Amino acid sequence: MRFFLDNNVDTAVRAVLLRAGHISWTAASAGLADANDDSIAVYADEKDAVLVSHDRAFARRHVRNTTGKHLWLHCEEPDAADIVTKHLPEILVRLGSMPNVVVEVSAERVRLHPPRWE
Amino acid sequence: MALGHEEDTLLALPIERAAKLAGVSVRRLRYWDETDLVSPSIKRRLGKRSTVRLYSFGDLVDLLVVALILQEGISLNHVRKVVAYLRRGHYETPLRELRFAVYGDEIFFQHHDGSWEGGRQPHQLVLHHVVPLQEIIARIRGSSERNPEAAGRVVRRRKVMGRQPVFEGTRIPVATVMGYLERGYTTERIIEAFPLLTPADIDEARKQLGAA
Repeated sequence: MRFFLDNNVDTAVRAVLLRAGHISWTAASAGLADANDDSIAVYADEKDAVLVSHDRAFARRHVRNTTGKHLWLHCEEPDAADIVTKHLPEILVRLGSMPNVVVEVSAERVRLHPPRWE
Repeated sequence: MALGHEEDTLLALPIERAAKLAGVSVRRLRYWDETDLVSPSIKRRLGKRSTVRLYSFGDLVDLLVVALILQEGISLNHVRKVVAYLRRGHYETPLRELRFAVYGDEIFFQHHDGSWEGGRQPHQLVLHHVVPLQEIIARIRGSSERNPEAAGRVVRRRKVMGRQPVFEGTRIPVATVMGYLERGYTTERIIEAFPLLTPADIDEARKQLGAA
C-alpha cells in the first residue's frame, strides 16, 4: 500500500511502514511541508495514497466529507509507531475495505468511519 | 527532458510556493492556468472559492522557463504564440522538452535533432541567453527545503492543523514537540523524529512549556 505521511507524524511510523514493505513518503519530501489541509488531502488522493495524520480537526472534517483514504493516528505522537506496529494487519484490512474511508487507530482499537453519503 | 530522480515525480508545490519560486504573483499564475499557458498537473475545485492547484516538477520547469523568457523582455503574447505553435507541432510539453534561447526580442528553440528555429533564423548569431535548464532543475529541487530564517518562529495559519500554533515553514504543531519534551525526549531525538525542525524550534517549544 502507499502511505503519505503528514508533517506531524514521527519518522518512526514511516520506518514501520517501510519495514512492512509499503511505499511511504512525507509531506516535506513532496514540497508540501507548510501546505494547507486541503492541499495535503487532494495530493494524497491524486497519488492514490493513504493520508496518515494525527490532526483531530483534519480527521473530523475528512469524516464529514471523505475523499480517498485517511489513517487518523488518534494517539500521542511518541506512541504512534508502537500502535501502528500492533494494529497494522487490521489497519490494512480496514483501509482496503472501501475506496473512500477514514480509519481511526488508537491504543485500544481500530475504528472504521465509512463515508456518510455512500 | 528526462526528469531523472524518483523524488521528482512526488514533488507538487502549492500555487503560493510555485509563484515564489518563479518570482511572479499568485494572481498571474492563476491567469497563466486559465489561459492554458502553464497549468498545474493537480487541480481540484473544492468549493466556490476554493481550488487546490499543485504544480508538479515538470509544471515547475515550464513555469521557470516562461518566467526567465519574460525577464529577458519578451512579451507574454509572443511566448504564448511560440508555445501554441510548438504544441500544434510534435511537442506536447515544449517548455520542458526543448532548449530555449533569447536574442534581442526573439525566442529561439532547439529541436531534438539539434537544429535551432525561431522568429528570425539565427544563422551565425551567438545566442546570448540560453535558458539554463540544469540551473532551473537545481532550483526546483532546492525549493522544498525549509527557509533557515523560519527556525524558532511560530505561526498560526488558516486551514493548517485547525489554526493551532505550528513552526513556521512546517505543519508541525508546537504542542507536538511539547509532548515529546514532557516525556523527557532530547533535542536530538525530537529532530530525528521531525527532521524539518532545528534546535531553535525545540528551544522555542521548551520556552513555551516553561511558561505554561
